[in-house]
Amino acid sequence: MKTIKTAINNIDLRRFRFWLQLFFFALLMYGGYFAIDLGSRLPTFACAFNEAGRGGICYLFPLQHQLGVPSSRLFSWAGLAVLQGLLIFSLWFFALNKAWCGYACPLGTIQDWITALRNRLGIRYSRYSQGQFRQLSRIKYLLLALMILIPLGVGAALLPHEMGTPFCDICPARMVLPMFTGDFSQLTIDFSSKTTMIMTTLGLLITGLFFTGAFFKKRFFCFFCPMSALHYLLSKPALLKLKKDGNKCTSCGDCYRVCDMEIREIADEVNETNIMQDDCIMCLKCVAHCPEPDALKATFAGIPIFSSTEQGFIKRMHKGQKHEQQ
Amino acid sequence: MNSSEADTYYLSRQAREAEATLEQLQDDFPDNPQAMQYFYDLFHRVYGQGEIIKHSGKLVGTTCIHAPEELIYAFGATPVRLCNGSYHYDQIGADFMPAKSCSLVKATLGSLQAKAAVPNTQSLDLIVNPTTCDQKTKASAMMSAMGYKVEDLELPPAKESEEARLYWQRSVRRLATRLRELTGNKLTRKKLQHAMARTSRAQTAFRTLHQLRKSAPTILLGKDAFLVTNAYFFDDIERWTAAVEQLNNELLQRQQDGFQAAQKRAPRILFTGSPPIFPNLKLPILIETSGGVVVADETCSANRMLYDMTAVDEWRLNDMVDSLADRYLKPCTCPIFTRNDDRQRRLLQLATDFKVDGVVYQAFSGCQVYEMEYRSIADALAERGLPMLYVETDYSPDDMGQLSTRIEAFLESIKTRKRQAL
Amino acid sequence: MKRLCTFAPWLLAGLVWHGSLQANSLWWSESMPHTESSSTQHAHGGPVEIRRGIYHKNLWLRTGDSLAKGSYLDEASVDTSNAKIFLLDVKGEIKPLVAGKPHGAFGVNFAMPDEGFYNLYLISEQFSESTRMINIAKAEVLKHSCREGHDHVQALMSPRQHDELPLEIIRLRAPAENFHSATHFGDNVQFQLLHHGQPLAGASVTLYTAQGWRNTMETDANGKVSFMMIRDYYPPWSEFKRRHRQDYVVQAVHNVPADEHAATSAYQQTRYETTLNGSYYPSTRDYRSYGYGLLLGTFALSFTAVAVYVYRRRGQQRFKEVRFDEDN
Repeated sequence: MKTIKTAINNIDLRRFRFWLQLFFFALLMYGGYFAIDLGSRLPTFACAFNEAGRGGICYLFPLQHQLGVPSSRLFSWAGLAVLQGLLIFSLWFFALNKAWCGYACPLGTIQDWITALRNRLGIRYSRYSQGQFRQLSRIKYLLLALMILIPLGVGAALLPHEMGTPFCDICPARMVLPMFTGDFSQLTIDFSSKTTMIMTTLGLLITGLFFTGAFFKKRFFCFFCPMSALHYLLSKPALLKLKKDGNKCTSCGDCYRVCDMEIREIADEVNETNIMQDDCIMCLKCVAHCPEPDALKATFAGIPIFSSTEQGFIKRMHKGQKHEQQ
Repeated sequence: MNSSEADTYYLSRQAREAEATLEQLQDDFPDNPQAMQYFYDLFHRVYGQGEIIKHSGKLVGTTCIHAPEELIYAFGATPVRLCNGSYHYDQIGADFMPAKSCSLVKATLGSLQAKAAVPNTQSLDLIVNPTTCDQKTKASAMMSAMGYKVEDLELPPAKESEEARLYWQRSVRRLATRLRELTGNKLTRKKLQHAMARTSRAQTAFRTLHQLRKSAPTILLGKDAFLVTNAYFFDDIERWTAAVEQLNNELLQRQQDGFQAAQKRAPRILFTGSPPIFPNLKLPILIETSGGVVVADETCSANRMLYDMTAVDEWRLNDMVDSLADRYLKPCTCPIFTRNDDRQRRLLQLATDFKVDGVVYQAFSGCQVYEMEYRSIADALAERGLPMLYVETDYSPDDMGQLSTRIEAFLESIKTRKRQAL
Repeated sequence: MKRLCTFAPWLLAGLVWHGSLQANSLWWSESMPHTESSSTQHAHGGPVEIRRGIYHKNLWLRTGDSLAKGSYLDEASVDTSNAKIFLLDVKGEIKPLVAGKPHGAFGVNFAMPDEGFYNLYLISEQFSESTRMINIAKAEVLKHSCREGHDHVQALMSPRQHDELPLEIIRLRAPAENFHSATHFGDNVQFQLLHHGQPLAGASVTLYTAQGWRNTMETDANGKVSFMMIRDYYPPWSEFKRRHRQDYVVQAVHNVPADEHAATSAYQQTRYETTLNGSYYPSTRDYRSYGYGLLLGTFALSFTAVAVYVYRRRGQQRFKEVRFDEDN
């Protein structure tokens, strides 16, 4: 048992993550070809517009559709459908908490690949300043609010019908993910009405921004993702948790150094035990790069499954050095 | 007295001091680990006989643990820590330093003043002086006046804010520029990686040693541990690492054999405060000759210097240099910063991990930062139920009698408590 | 009767020449007689009415010699006393229907409880001097609600035929067609002409669009014929609706000499005319532009890239500088 635990704590997280992300990418992007259908309440992007290959559908798509039904229906029995959808979404979500973001999301995986490309080209990445971090971090809540309010407005006939799925219109995943199954039709501007023109224009501008942003900043889009905001709001009862023992922390800031999302609280917070923040994607890089034994750990239903260890840290740092020296 | 005789005279006084300490270290304690012989010999040669320490490239002196040594190695230079522990140089320094200043700074400046100093590091090409405490900061101008090239490494007085962090990163980058001018070499990724790998191995070896000291009963005495870390100041890093790894192996064997370096009921002491630098290992030796054992320490001549490790996400120069800067600032528990929460936490955690019975807090007289801080530490420890002995001392051997009384009393009180607890 | 006799020679001439829509041609239409906001909702099979959760379809019978000018049937103008209307439902059962006047015009309203295609037939028989004229108007209606799921779709896709009919047009399915498919401008739609259930070769089939365009082709050896749906919707751009539904009608005529199925010898030949109606919509190519899309995307990408590059090159401060307000 102890050897298993040691082996897990010493794993090369980078490689493990690469393969697990690849698995989920294939599952969610091409699962449809193998008749895999995980349903339409997934807590990760798995774009509905990838009609040929999708192995499931991201929950935000049916959520917007459901909220966009006429108000009279929504506030009667159709509202139950919304709640039922939310329940199933929550059940999926509780299993892995925000690790869905760090390991399963195909758009996240694509961003990690872009980051690897940038690293290979030897271009350094950008970091946000503290002030920028604080301001920009609020955008995802704004997008979440809009994503809920606009379909409600459509249902109340206050907004045009074409705005029924406002977030899907601007989400870069809609443009990017279908490309992987050869569907480039989402890269069009829809001129059939003013609303569709504006929405599809916004969508393509955001996609352009996405590519550049993801190139210079690790996991650029995850900062603004309303799915991330929704996750965080529901994250309290989740099974997979990120825990910190503040007494063991030497505030060396290694965790903050390697965090893709540049979350400071991992390093600075010494009183709270549950330190997963709203931006966290639970990639567990912080745990892997913490040199203090048991200062950071990932627990599943209270059982630690991956803890920071001295040995693990040293092994990974040496590996990093060796890997780059070659 | 001509200069060579003067040199010999000084050399002999300095040497006598060092030899006396070494004798105490070796002879007053039975069963020293065999691997420690390397270190005893090293100090004998360097301090007792004034052996010249060979180095490659330019020689860069550092006055504080904040100077990033990996950076210095990466430029092909060799760092050497100048903090001095000799009473002899303390007296020389006292000639031009205020009476109430810290012995460490006096001794360091004294050794710099005396041109043929020990350890004999030959001529320093540059001194990197992080602006830590008042006295080190002011020493910068004095060192320049002595004819040395000094680079002020600007350290922020607080480390929590983003500005401080960025300020420090800029300081380190400026140091890199200065080192490039000094050495004429360019900083490349491979060289920095190599330097970081070497230091990382040294830190790993130290960590193993550190963890081994957790054993109950003890397998290594604190006086040896301090000697090992003090050797790091000037010894060749790879040789040092190899020697420590050998020591670790021997200690592992001792652990398996159930060896006891001290009595079973010896009070386990955590030593903190102003750093014990060879040959001023006065207090640790006193503690251990009085029956205690220093199992852990929180000082900048040992734990604080080698414990923390650097983590890098992307092995590119920009990221690596910033990561280094962060490692030298963020986890540092030096009391020169505004807040000492990190230090309190660290001490409490060490106390827990090492099953410590009491804490000895050494403050050099004149060291304002430690003197102002010790009360908060005492309070934090008292909450945990850990007794603390506050000792204000300096390099002179005059207070040995008084100190030994106090220490013996402290250790006795701990033993009594333990007996009562049982 | 008398009126028809007067036009008989013209009729004959027209008949021999090609089967064009005539004054007494009949076809179904799902377009409302007059636009009014009503309980009609859009569904995958076209406009429906939903009453208590069950989909109901309204179809109106129209007559005339052109789609655009086809008038809604007034009971008096065309004799439908001997017209038979029946519905071939999803299960294959035939149910007679009684015509009514939904929304004020002659037509039928029927319920579609099951998912799948419903075929509605109207057969009307008339006599001119020596010709028995049989008009068969067919409508094929899809009932689909996404709430029912999509597992059953493939099984229910195939078109059904009623072999007793002397003439019938079947719309053949496109490859990979499903309940969500619709006909768009530029699509090739294939039809098959059946005579008592057997393919009829060499007959002439005409497609009529709502604006008055038509195209006539001959069926091949398998009775199949293929038409391309042209775009004839050219509104001013501000009024363009991408879900604009237009009717089309496919019509075929087949003459059979009397001695084949003669019940009596009162006529020399039988003229069978059948129509099948359908709807088509603008295609995405009409309103979606790749060019503009890629232009905007690459613009955003390169603009951001240049902006970041310039920002980094100029070594901007990463934190906001403290600045004092000079006004005081």
